[in-house]
Amino acid sequence: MTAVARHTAVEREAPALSAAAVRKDFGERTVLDGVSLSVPRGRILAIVGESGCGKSTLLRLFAGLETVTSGSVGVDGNVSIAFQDSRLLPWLKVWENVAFGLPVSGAERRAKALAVLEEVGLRRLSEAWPATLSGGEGQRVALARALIRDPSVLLLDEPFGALDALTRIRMHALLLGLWKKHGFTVALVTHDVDEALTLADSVVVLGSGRVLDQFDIPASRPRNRLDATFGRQRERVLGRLGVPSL
Amino acid sequence: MAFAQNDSIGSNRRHPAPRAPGAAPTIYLSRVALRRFPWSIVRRSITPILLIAIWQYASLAGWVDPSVLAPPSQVWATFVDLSRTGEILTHVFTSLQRVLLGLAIGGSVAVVLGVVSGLSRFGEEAIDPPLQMIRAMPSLGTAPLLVIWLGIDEGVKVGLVAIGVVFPLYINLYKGIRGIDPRFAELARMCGASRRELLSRVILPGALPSALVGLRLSLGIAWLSLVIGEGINAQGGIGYLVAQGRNALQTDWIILGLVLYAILGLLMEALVRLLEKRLLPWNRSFLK
Repeated sequence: MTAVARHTAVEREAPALSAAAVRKDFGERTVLDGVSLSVPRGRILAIVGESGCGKSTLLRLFAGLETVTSGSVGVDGNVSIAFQDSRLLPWLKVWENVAFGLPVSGAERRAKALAVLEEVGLRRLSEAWPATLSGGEGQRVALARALIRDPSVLLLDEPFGALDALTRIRMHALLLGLWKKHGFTVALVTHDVDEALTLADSVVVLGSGRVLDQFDIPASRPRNRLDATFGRQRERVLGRLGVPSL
Repeated sequence: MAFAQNDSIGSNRRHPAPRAPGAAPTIYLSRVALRRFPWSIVRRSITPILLIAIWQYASLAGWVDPSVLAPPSQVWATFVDLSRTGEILTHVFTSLQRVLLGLAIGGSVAVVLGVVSGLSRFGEEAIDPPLQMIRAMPSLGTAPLLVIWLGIDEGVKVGLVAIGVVFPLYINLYKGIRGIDPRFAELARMCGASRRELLSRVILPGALPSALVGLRLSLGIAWLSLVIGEGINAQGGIGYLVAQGRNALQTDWIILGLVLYAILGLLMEALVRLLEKRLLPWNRSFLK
C-alpha cells in the first residue's frame, strides 16, 4: 500500500495538497484521527491548533517524513520544508547551507545559493557561520534553503514561532512577497491565530487530532487586524480551541 | 571638576603635544608599549625560573650529589655538547619518526574502525566488543608479545605506539559520529542530499571536533608508549640517551632525555591545537 499518492501534474483539477481520512498512531497514541482537507494550487493554508494537536505530524506526513496509519495524503509537485528550528548545519557557511542537497556543484551551486539569498535579503551574510546569525536571519536562511529547489509546495512548521514580534511581522511580509512572486502552495503550521488569519486563504483548526473547524478567508491582503471580520474570525477560532478571547 | 579633568585627558590623547626633534619619547608612547607587553608571560615564568635556580643552587652548595641529580647547568652543558656533534638531532629525529609511524598505523586503523562502527549498527556490533576487550588490557603490557612478534628493534617501539593510539581515537570518532543530531539526517532527506553528501557535509564535519579530541588523547599515549618502547632495547632515539645515562650513572643524560620528550610532546600537542583552529572555524567556544 502506498501511503503517499503522488498525483501527476497532468490532472489540472488535482489539489496541491490533500488529506483523506488520515489517521496516524504512534504506538498506543492516536495523533491524527480522520483528518480530511484539500488545498487548491497556489493557496496558503494555515493549520492552527495547540501544542500536541497533531498539526506538525500532519505536515510531516505531507513532507513524507512519516507514513499514515490509514487514509491517504496527496502532494502535487515537489515539496520543500522549513522547520521551527532553522536547522542549519553549523559547520557550513550560510550559502553552503542554502545549497545543501543541490545536485549541482562548483560555480553554479554558489550562484544559485546567492540568488535565493538575495531574495530573502541575506546575500551579504553568505560567508557567515550559522552560529553568528540572529533567530530571524537563521529562519530566512532556512527559507532560502527551502526555496532553492523551486518548490511547488512549501511546508512551514512554525517557522516564525521562536521569533520576536517585530521580526515576525517582517517575516510575514517576506513570505507573502515570495509567495506572490513564485506562486507556490503553502501549508503553514502555527499556534498563532493572528498569524494564521493574516496570511492564509483558508484556515484549518485542529484539536486532539480532528478537524474542529475549517473556513476560507476571501479578504485581500494586506489585512487589517482591527477589521470587524478579522475580529469575528479570531473569536471563532479561539472559541473552537476553547480559549477565551480578550 | 571631574568632567573637566576627563576632558583634558581626552584631548591630550587625541592631540599629543608636538615634541622637539631629538627629545625623549613622550610618556604616552612608552605607556602604550608597556600596556602591550605580555606581562602575564613574565608573571607565569617566575615560579619555574625560581625552581630551576633553587635546584642549581642546591647542587652548587653541595646539598645534592650530582650523581643523584645533576644540576641544570650540567644538563645544559651535555645538551650543548651533543648538539655540537649533531648527535642529539639524530636521536630526536629517530624518536619523532617512530611516533609518527606508530601514529600513522594506529591512526589509520582507528579511523577505519571508528567510521565503520559509527556508520552501521552491524559494524558496531562486530567491532566494538573486541575493541572494548582489548582496551581492558593495558596496552603497554603487550610489549613482551610485540618483542616476540615484531622484533626487539623498531617493531616493538612502533608497535607499542600504534596499539596505544588506536583506542582513544577510535572511541572519540565513533562517539562523534553517533552524536550527530538525527534532525540533520532528516534535513538531508528533505533536501534530497545524496549519501556522499550526507557523509561529506554532515557526518564527517560533525564528528570532527570529537575526533580531534581523540587525536590529542592519542598523542599523549603515543609519547608514553614510545618512552616504554625505547626503554626496552635502546638503539638510537631519545631513549638511547636515557639508557646511556642509566648505564653510566649520568643523571644529566636522563634529565636531558626527559626534557626532550616533554618538548616534542608539547610541540605536537600545539600542532593539533593549530589543526583544530584551522579545521573548526565554525566551532566558537563561549570563551573567545
